[in-house]
Amino acid sequence: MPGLHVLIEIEDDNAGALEAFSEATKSSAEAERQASRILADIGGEGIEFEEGFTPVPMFSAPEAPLPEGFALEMSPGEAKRRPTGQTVVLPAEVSRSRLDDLQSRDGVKVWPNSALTLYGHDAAIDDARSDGGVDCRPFRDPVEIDTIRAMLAVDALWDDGFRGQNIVVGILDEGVSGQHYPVIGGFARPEAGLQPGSAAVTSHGSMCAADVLVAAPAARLYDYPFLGIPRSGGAIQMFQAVLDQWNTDGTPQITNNSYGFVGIPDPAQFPDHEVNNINHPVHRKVREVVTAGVACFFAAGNCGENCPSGNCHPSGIGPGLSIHASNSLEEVITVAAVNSRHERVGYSSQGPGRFEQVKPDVASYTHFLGNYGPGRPAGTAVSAFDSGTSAATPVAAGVAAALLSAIPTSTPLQIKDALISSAIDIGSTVGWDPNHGHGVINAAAALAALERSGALVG
Amino acid sequence: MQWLITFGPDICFADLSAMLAACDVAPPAEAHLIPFDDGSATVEITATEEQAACLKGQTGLQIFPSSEMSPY
Repeated sequence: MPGLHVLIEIEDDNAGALEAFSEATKSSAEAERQASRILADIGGEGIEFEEGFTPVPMFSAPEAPLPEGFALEMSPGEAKRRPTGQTVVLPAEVSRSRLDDLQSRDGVKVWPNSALTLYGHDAAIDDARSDGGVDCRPFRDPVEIDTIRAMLAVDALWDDGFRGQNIVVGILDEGVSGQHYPVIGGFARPEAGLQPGSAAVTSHGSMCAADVLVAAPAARLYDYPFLGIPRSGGAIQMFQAVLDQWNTDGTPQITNNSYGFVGIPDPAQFPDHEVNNINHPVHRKVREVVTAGVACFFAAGNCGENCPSGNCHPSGIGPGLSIHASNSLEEVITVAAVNSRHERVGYSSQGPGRFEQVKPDVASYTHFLGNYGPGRPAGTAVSAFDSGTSAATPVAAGVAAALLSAIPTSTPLQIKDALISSAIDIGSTVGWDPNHGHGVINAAAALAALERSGALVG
Repeated sequence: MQWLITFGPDICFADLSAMLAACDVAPPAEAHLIPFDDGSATVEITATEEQAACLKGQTGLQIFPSSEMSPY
């Protein structure tokens, strides 16, 4: 049963809560009996209790102080009475169809049950969570690439030799420097100003290239410099080139798309604009590319409500307005941005999406020293560090490349499902939310999810 | 302005060129046609609003803007 890992808290007045817990810790059969009794109260269908876990009694209501005398009652030795448990918490895997039902029930509260990271790594200082936190100007300092790699847990793939080898990522952007990054092909019309690999290292496309390599250093790149023609007409040509290449030799397996629109034209006046018409040719071509087998990662955009980029039009800022056009297509993987503290960067665009409402799909990391920064290939003349949902998206594409090097037969849908189902749930609600999607991607967890889906490794 | 013209499989390139010419729009190179898997195709052209309005009156043609995008 594919589902969300949650903690279910249920009202369960019990004067013998501590004793019950104690008994359950000694006997898995007793733990299971207790869990079954609790789940029976809310109907067990679509809910799977996590085996080996003992239901935990809670002695105070959420956001309420502990009962007076609680410390004394809980102290060891000669306490005269034990407190009454008010609720009980148990971890479970819940199907999406049951989640809304559970969250709407009186006496039931559903909490995130997110993955934790061991604090043994150098990056531990950045593992702190900040649920609902927002990073706005002046932003927190950027971190090193190694910190991002640790947050992504790429070691779990790299240790087994999966570093993105044999995978090609197409960068649809304003061009990539082939002198600094492993561009092995791509497409441009002979008369176009930019040819594959000819862009400066300071280009936006070169940043995207650097950021693919964060998780997939052995991946190779195709350069599709369509932003030399910065319109959908240029994009559709590049997507067709992707499709032609894919039909020839099965590459690129992934495209990165860190661009889009920054406002919503009046639908009455411009009904066929890319933002308003899902049947615009560029969207149809994107769907063809994904259906053919190429995973397409799209940036959510930089028009979040807290600190939108300066080029955002007021019509396209904030929740429900800022993810539109191809990045709101159901078929693509739409990426929001967080910093290394799991705080949403305040410019990261917010769902619901204009076409498919459940957007963004996931969040990924931005604000690190990748292409830009002191000692980095592009230095600090253009930017002090890699930023934007533009940087977060190729990080996610690189994770997908590493996954594909482990399981080359994975389909775009399998990759998307694995990233979503294994994402670290942050924010104040369980499951998807319009700021972070289903949560922050994690390479190790995503590989485990792919393996569980039945795909063969290597 | 830039536009994307989409047309169905029942219209050949020569037909398209004639329809464009009727609206005083220069035909694109045939090599620039982008096919779709349903047999239709699209191509980017340059045309004024008036020429685009003329083309919208041609049976079998659909016209979409080719709008500017920004890096994120």
